[in-house]
Amino acid sequence: MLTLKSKFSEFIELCRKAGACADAGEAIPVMEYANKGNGMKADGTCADGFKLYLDDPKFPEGWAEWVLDKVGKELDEKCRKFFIDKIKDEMTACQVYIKLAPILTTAEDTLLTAKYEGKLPTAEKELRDGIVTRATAEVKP
Amino acid sequence: MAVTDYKFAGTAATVDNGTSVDWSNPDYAKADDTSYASCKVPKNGASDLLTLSNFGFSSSDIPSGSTIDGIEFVMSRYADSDLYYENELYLRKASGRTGSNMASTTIWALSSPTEKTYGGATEMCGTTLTQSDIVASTFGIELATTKNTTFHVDYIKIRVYYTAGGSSVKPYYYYLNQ
Repeated sequence: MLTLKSKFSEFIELCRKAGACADAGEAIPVMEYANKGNGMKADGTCADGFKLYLDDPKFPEGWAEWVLDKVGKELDEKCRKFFIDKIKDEMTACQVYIKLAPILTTAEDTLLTAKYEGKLPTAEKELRDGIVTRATAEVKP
Repeated sequence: MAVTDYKFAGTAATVDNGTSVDWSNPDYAKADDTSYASCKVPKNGASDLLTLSNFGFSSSDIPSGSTIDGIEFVMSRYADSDLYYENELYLRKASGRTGSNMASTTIWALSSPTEKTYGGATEMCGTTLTQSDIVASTFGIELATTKNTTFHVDYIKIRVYYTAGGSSVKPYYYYLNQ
């Protein structure tokens, strides 16, 4: 399990194994670029890389959902918090809350629900009425 | 409380949402005819907005002075891959997007269209609407999707729940002219 003290390059490798987009301009090359000292020290830690991702608007929010979905269970809670914090879109927050229930802690549930509660009448009713239920097992791609 | 018939859009368009991923054949979302407005969304991408308006409600459907109680709409939709859903679904009025994001967490049907109902008799979709908002040609819906698949919309139809208000007693000069 990766922690904030783990090397960022280990995180990149984890993403690569999970099938991260490796085309020009997509996740892997951009992350590798960051790992080569652009905004963080060379051979930086996950804390360095994740802060760069969180703070820089050129890194898309959509990657947060992907990372949490594909490699979230390989990250500790402090690592996952960077990606949860990156999510601003209420629908993305709600989908992560539904799909990733098996790996989320109570504190993470609270963070995610705070992002969408009161903003999604249809989705929230579907959850209340049991039309949509939270995942109970890992969702396979 | 009364309810109108379902009505279909008279106008459809793809509107830039900062993504440059247009909907093809937006006019196909104006009728229940198994012709589809479609949008192929790339990896890490999002669609432009499919906007539907000019639903044709009139004072014959909703009398002037009525109170709007709820909006209900039905979308017939499917996607080419499973596990996909819409990301933005809002009502529109003259001032533009209005209210809450009505998007559903239910997954779009795979390969063949399925109807999904949103709103209801007392659901105002997070906004306030008057009779004049609804009879205006600007009243409608906008939709955007995300993720790596092609989305298809056959139609979106709307009906309106309302309580008739105002007086039905005509002024004396109305009768003088008869």
